Amino acid sequence: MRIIIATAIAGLLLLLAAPGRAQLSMPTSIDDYSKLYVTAYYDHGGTTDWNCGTKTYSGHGGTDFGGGSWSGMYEGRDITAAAAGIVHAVNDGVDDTCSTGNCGGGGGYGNYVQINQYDGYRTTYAHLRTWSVAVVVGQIVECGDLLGLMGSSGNSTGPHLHFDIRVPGQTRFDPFAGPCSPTPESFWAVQGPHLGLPAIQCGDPAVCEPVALITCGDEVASSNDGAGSTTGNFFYGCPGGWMYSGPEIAYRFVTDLDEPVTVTLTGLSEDLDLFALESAACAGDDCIEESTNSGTNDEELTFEAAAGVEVVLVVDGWQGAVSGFNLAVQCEGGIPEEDEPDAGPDGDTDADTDGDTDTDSDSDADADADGGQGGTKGSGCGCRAAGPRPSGLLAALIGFGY
Amino acid sequence: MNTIAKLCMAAALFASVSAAGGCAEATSTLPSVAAAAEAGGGDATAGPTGEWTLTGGASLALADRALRLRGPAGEIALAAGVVGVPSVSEGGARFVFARELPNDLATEVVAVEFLGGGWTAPRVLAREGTPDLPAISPDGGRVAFVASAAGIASVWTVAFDGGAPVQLTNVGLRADGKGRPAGFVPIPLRDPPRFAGDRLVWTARDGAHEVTLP
Repeated sequence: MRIIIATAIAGLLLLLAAPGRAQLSMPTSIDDYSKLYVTAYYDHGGTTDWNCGTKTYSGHGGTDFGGGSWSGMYEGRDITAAAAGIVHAVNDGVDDTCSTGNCGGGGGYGNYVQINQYDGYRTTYAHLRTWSVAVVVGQIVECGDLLGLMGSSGNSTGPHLHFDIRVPGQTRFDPFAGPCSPTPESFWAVQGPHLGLPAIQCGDPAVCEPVALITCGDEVASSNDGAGSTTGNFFYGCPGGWMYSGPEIAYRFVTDLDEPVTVTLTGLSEDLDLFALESAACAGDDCIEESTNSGTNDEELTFEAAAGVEVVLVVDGWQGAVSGFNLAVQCEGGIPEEDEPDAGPDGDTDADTDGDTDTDSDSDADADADGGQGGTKGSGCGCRAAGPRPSGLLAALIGFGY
Repeated sequence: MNTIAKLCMAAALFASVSAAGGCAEATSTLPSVAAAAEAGGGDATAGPTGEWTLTGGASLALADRALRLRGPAGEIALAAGVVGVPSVSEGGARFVFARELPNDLATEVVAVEFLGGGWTAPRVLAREGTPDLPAISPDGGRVAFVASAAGIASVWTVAFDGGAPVQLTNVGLRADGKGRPAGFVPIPLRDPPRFAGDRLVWTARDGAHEVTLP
């Protein structure tokens, strides 16, 4: 009896020791991100996907990502590791031109890579292109490492990636969380909207890395893939929720007055968009204002600057766009804050000259002028205005002229 | 105990059918693919469908990746998660098929035969390397299939009665993550290998291939 009880307890402990939530990155490279899309989610029964939509088919146990059908396949679509781990199994050499859904090879999965992730989950990347598998069994892979190319090998109706996740020895589950999914919390680092894509995000969220400090009257001519650009940020916390896969370049802005500031982005050859963020943390939830006009149209946004409070301006490419640009900042003037002996609302009286901003997230109620619109590209952000204003003393110490 | 376990349900269903009596020629129908090509691509959806004649007036029916064994007295659900189509020996007394295991990226090739007045339970012939595309020889004595060996899709064979599978192509090759290795022989493009005397023959994208059986 003791043995039975001990076994039962051990089993319970094993269950309790099941791995926690994974942090998956969209399994592709930045170059291919905007060229991918969901063709089928995990089926939760009755051809219902995680968001109670019908983007699935009966019995589908993974997520299918398309990449532009055959032309996309021959152009090449990188498939990368969604998380770090060790390669558990591979198969290659299966023809990749299947369109009937019934070609066989690899047990129907064609050319595939399977990874035992360090977080305890096992992920499968299937239907890869013939001889594209770039890893071997036992190889250590980091999140984002190339595994192969999208193909149509095995039982496939056209080029796509079949991606699935499970605890080894158990059935697959849906990494997406939503009203029709039993997954309580998304396994993607950033899930993204329904029919959108999860973000490419390995590890901690990327941060903006402003390349320069600018102020009123400044004009900058640069490119969003120029020196100091990054490719880590996809979301800026604006209600529209669009994903920006192009490289981004960021600038710190500060003025010594409380005043409306208008920022323009001109001279575009591709679709770049413009964001004003509350802090250099750039954590994806600190949007002040955005301008997301389509195509090569100029961008313009206006926000209420607070004296001495830093704002980060980000220029990012829509769907991988890269372009030169002219960024201009016009301040409309205002009444300088009076120097007061006491500190501002947060009590911060330090002269912060290294570029770090005060990230107190309290918002000024009088600054949200636009009202959020969201929904379609081109709408205003209508987010919170900049955070608490430091004292005039801080502004004086920072000492930017106007 | 007999190594071939009797499928009791089938025995009850087909007890009146003798192995020799009334067996029609096995005529596999070409499967039709239920899933139309989806823009942008997807996995197989409902999978192929088809019906195959077995000995004693029995038949196999495949739909929605489920295989059902039908006889005069009724039918049973034989397997779910079937990959591809079954392969039936001449006379219809033996057949093989591949099925997916639910708890991992894994498949197995299994064998069923009519023995002692009933149908045996599915018996695993191969499980390593996600095997599929099985084919049974006309006399039912040998099975060919495709499976991954050292990361490379290859052709294998195994005796219907069991034993260790034998790799027939790409022996000694290993996937090195650097593309097609020298000496690689591709697996069949669509249909399983076909038995032709002492050889296995199949068609790949680059043409016809064959290998002599051991």
